[in-house]
Amino acid sequence: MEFLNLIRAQWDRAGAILCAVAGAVELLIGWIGTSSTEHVAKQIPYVVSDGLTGIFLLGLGAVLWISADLRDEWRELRRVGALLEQELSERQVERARGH
Amino acid sequence: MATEVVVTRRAAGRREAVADAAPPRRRRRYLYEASPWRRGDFLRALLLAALGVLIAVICWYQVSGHVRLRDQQGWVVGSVLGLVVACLGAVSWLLVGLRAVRLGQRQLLTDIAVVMDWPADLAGYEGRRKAAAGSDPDALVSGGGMTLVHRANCQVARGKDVGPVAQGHGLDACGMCLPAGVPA
Repeated sequence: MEFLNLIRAQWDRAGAILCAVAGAVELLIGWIGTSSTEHVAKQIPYVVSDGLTGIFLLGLGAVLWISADLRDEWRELRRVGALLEQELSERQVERARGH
Repeated sequence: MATEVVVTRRAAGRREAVADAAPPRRRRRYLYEASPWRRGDFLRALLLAALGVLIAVICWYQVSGHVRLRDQQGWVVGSVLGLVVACLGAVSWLLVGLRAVRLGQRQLLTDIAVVMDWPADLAGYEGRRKAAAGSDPDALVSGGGMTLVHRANCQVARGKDVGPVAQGHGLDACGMCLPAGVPA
């Protein structure tokens, strides 16, 4: 349950790791495919399907990880912003009382 | 929670000024939105990614249907193009998020500076620039590592660490403010 909760809370980072692993596997499959034949015309489909897909998945993993960092930053902004908002509200109340 | 107390106590004597600064804070996105991205940003990134993947799949299908390299080349280029389109979606997603977060950081810093009564010119650059200008806005200023000389009121020099320069400095003139007596 602890692990599932972690995955649920950090779904974007979990997705990033998953994409990175899948991308690496795709590249490996592509390499195995291309190395199994000497004909360039037979190798090209592996390059297009596995090679480019692997690169895409690795990029997607990076994007997800950076997105997770940005979400963290946004949450921190919200937290500090809420503290400031609370402070300003208290001041307005005190100011109203003073009048 | 300790920070909250410090903010409250240190700023207690400046209530009037801060209360006046409160209304613009209503525009702070980070206070009211759960994520730096909006639905439109998500849809744009998704659309570009889906389009890129579709192009790549079509190209892969075509590539695998040909046996001659010459016939495959065009489709390979097409699949790379599909990858580029998908990457554009990802880049737009990241750019929107980065811009929103950076804007929020600047706004939050401004708000904290107001609450803590910090000077707006934290680095002191503007103070030095204005001191260099004195009463003459046409005074010449430049800074370390800069290759151009500017008028003191030049927009390009604003926010930079500049100071007055003497005659015979050997620097070129800024193309924006065109300071008098300096070759461009």
